[in-house]
Amino acid sequence: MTVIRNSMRQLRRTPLRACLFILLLMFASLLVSLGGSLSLLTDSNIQRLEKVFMTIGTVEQTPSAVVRRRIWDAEIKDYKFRDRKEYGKSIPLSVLNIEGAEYLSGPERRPYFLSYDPSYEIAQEATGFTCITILEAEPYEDCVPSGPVKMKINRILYSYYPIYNMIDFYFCDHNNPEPEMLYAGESYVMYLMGGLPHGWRRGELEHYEWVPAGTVSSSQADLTGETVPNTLSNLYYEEVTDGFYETEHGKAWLELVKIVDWHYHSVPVTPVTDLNLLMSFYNGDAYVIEGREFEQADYEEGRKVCMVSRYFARNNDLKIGGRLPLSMVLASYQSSSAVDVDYMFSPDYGLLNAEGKAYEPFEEEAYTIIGIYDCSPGSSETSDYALGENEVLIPAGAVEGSYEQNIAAYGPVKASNTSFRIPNGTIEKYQELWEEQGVEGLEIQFYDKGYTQLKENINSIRRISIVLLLAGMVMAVLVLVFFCHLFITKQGKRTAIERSIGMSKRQCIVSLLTGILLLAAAGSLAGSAAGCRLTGEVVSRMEAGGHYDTRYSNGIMSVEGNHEETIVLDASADKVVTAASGGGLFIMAFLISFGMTIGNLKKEPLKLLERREE
Amino acid sequence: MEILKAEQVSYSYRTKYQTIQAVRGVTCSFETGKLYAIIGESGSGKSTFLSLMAGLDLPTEGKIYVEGEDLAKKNRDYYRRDTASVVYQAFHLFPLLTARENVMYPMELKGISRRQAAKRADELLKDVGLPEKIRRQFPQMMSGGEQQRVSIARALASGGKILLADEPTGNLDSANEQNIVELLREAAHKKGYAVIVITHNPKVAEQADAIYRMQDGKLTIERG
Repeated sequence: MTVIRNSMRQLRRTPLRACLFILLLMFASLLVSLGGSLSLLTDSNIQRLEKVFMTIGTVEQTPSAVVRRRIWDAEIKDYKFRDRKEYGKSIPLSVLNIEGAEYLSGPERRPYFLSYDPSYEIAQEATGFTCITILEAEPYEDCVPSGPVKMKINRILYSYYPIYNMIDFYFCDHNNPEPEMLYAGESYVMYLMGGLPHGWRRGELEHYEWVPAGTVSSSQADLTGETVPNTLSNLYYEEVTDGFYETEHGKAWLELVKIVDWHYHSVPVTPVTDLNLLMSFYNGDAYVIEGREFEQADYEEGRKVCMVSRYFARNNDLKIGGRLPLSMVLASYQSSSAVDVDYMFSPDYGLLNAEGKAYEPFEEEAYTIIGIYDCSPGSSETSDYALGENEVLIPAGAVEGSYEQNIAAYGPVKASNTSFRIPNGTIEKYQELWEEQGVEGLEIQFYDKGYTQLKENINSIRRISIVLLLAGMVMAVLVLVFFCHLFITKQGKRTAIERSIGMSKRQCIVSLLTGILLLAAAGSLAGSAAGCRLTGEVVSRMEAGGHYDTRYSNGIMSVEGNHEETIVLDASADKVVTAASGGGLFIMAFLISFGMTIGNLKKEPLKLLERREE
Repeated sequence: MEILKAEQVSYSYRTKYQTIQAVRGVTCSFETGKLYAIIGESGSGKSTFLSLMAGLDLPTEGKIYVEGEDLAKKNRDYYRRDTASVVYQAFHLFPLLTARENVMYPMELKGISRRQAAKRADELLKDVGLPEKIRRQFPQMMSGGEQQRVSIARALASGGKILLADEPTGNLDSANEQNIVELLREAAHKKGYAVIVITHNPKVAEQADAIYRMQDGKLTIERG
């Protein structure tokens, strides 16, 4: 105690030197602590980002032209105009097989399958607009249906809603500028749906009219997108003559009757290899509310499991663990299921195959429901990538049957159904590889939820933190060496005096080290604590400013709505790191001062106090 | 009573270019209650011999006996703390301790309580003729003579029997020089120390009870 007390007493009597040492070491310690903890924090946050973020790309064929289409409106007796994108020949997905490109998932082009089961409840309510029927009718008099003409029902071949007590109705070939004459006494088979009455815009309701719903047609295609030729009539209505239903056209009408119920009892089924490739899930617009998402094993083993929408589950009383019969009749590569099958199945393609027959199911299995998902309110209205209200998701590998002969429609690749996943931070590399391919007509849009921006910010912080760390370490070494020199090496004579009054070497070590180590401990502790506090401050500032667009960080699309999200960065590591940096500096101080003290003790006391020889 | 004895003591050390034989076969003995002076030319080996007797180093040959015990076999830290004290030409006080604290330090090292050490330090400082106001001053605030008095008080504080002084008056004026010599004589004759003074100064040497001369590392008795 005597030695320590006297050591401290002597230290107290050089307050300026001691304070300067503490302050400088504190500053160095602060830099080391701040730099170290920020560096490790950035590392841990980058690792975290790798888990939280994922980068996907969507692919869309750019239209070769936009064609203005004229659509006749029988009510206003004039054309309406509607722009339609023309794509030309479909660009195959194989162009994305780029050497050197690293795909984590995909690239995949997802069809959606149509699953039909009469037990499905998909409609919210029945409306006349969606009332579809196939019937035979005849006009009361010869007429051209350029406006509502009264028709008498001869026979109802299909109607979902009870119109069986109807005797007649008004028919209007609403979008046909030059409809053909209908003759009284002739019966016509017609594929109709309830339309809006003329005059409704003016508030002067005329007759409630029925309009053509679809044609007897086929748009069957093969896997390359080539349309399979057919000889179907492509008509909304045809005259029924004797033996008509024995003819090819007549048989096709009867086939259509068989499957027109698909409008009311079908759901889209999308096979997926990675749920995150669906933009709705990637963006968080869609999320699981009950059960679970697909696991890797579901994909790999092709388990017969499915996820259903909350809407569909509610209407059909579906529960987790329950079984959902899926009878998949056709596949479409044309548009997204949300576009084709929204609310009620009303696709923009023919329901018959090229032979004029109904598609036979290529897969009939009961799938176990493992998850029920929901979508953010309004997300389906603002996004091209929305899921259908009744959409069922299944692992792609679960489908065993071949749907090669059941492709009802084919179209250009769309961002909504074509995507892939690449490692985070490789967008630029991918873009370079893609540009080297020189493929035109495809637009690739990348989504990384702000990863690129965030990582760049974190990397900047990391660079700064490394500079701080190195500066702190260099400063700490310089401060320690300089002050150890002052407090120890320059105190050689003191050591010699101590030795000469009988202090042992151990006591001399204690005498020299006590003071400087106490100061070093105080400085490094205070600096580390300040660094810890400052780290928290820096991290909280990062968090405060850390609003990142979670959709597009490297893309060109603009999206309405607020898609910003606060990235909460991990700040928990800093206390350990600051403690370690403080401890490290203290150990460094101990080693340097101990080394110098030993150096002092090696010198002969007499040599320090006097010359050995006079 | 013989307290310190050197027997065929030699000491050599190596420099970068040569080995220097600083002390050569010195045999002598010192008794308590006497003041000894060792004189000699610069470089004759006086200070080296003193450091050997202070236990700051060990002879390369020969032995030094303290109260009949081989110094090489003793704990030399304890020896310096309890038996032999050194007074230097340059005083070598702890610059950041007051006069009193400098004197207290060796006593505290021996385990004497602070209070007792302070009391004893005051007595010693009084004995060496330092006024009270000086006791709380730091060495750099004192004159050379005052510092040397503190140094002697510190040497006496250990309570040992041997006081070794290496040119204790070398940095002092003649008035202070005589005062310090008186203190050393008093330490020998009244307090019973064996006081061994290394000096160039014939006036100092003359006041010793015995004079040795060191020449080329060899010690000869000049006056018994």
